[in-house]
Amino acid sequence: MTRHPHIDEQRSALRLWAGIEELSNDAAFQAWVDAEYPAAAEFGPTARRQFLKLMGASFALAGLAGCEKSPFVAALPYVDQPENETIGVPRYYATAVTFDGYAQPVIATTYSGRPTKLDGNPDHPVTAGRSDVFMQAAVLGLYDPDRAQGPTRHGEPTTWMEVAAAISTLRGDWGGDQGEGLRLLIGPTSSPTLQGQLDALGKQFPKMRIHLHEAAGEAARRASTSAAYGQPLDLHYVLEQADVVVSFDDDFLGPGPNQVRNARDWASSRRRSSERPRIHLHVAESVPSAPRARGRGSTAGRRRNGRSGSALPPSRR
Amino acid sequence: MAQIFSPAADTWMRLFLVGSLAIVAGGTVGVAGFARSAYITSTDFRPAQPVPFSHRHHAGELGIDCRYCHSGVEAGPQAGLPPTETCMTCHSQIWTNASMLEPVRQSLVQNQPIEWTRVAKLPDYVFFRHDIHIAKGVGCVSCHGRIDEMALTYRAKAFTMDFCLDCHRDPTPNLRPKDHITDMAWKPPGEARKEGEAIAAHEGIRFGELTHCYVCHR
Repeated sequence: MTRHPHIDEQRSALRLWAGIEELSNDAAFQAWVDAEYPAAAEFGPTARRQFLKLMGASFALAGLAGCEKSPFVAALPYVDQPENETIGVPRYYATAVTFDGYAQPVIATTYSGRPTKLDGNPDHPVTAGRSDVFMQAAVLGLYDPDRAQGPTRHGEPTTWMEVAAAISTLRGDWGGDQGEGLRLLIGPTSSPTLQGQLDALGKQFPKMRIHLHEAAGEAARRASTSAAYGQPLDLHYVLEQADVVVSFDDDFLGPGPNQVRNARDWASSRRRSSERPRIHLHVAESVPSAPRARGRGSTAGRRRNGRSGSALPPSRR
Repeated sequence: MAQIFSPAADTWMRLFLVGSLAIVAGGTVGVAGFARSAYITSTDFRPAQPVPFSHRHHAGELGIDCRYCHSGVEAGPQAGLPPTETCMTCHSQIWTNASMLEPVRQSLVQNQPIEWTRVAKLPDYVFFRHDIHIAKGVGCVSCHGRIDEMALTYRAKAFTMDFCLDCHRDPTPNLRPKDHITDMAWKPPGEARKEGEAIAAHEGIRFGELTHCYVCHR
């Protein structure tokens, strides 16, 4: 409910601003804010009290909502009920959800074909039934109201038939100039099928360019493997077998498609029997990781903080 | 010194006490009565359905067993509504052109469910399973009333906590043999309590535990 204050010109010596529009005192921007939150424009300086009064009253009366009669809601049976399906009894399926392009092995609990819960597959060697927050949250994506229900063109829904027709028209244009100006935006994927199709498309239109959109991604690790091995590689830590781990600004126990396996291996390496020493971790990091963070610095036996880009050699006192 | 209280003050005081007591008691009775009224418990309401399905005709006159359509009742928590295919077992052969059944045919053709309005519904905070009630010998009629006499289906019993607890406190008179679970008109041949005691002993019903909070609220 914060109103962007009109800039006080007297205080221009020390002006605090939250956006360029505010700094330039843009009238159009202020109008937009007022239109976005019309209630905020009406609120006087003492409106807070009135607001609290109304909220208090509605909170006090909220209990009455429990006294209303139970509504008559719709009941939608199957058209053709699957064999052995009992309404209200869950079924469990072994399946996979992708995280950053990598398949995560899960068991899905479903009611009448609708998944409600995902858990790690206990029979899968990588997770052994363990799960992580991303796996737990993945089921919500299925019911996201913003989830695409079909193809769109300029923001308007269209049909796959029209998409196919439009692409076949465009294909003719691309053929003339080897796909000059053709850009493809994809998410992270580890699918060999999709990779093969992309390769085939690239052969057909050599000047085409593919862009990868990753929310977090592994760009830094790929850069380091490129420097060390000459090509970008996936890192698979064998923490269970390691005796000493040295980490340079790398949150190797942090979130990522391998986080469950890394956490399991790390835990078992800390729990090793007496004939083998416990794993030692040395960390050099530019930002000290918080004690409640799961990975790196806080777990380290030795830690050294330094500036980013000048990662100090790990100390072993 | 003038008197503070007039001679009628005692009378006014008594009237006030009796009056306020009457308002409080009357209000309590009124609220409790309203909560149990047919209006609030929806026992007087026959919701409109896309097809005016008559249980009186199908279950009463034709004698189709409840479980033919509500097939999940013995195996799962919900009795379930019949899929369109179940309607079409008969109605692909009889009344195939009845205009009343157009929504059923459309459902099959378009592969879209029939949008019934649910009649028997418990609140979400109640844990309820049909299968255990059937397995222990509670008949359909005990909660759903004489469905076989209903043209349009309605809620025969108010699904209040009272209603559930009455039986959970003393289930014996409401138990019946397995082969009469769906029989709407069944009456115990002898004394209901004696019959029920034999069934309760056979089914191992744990009296007293049925009224624990967590039995219904989990």
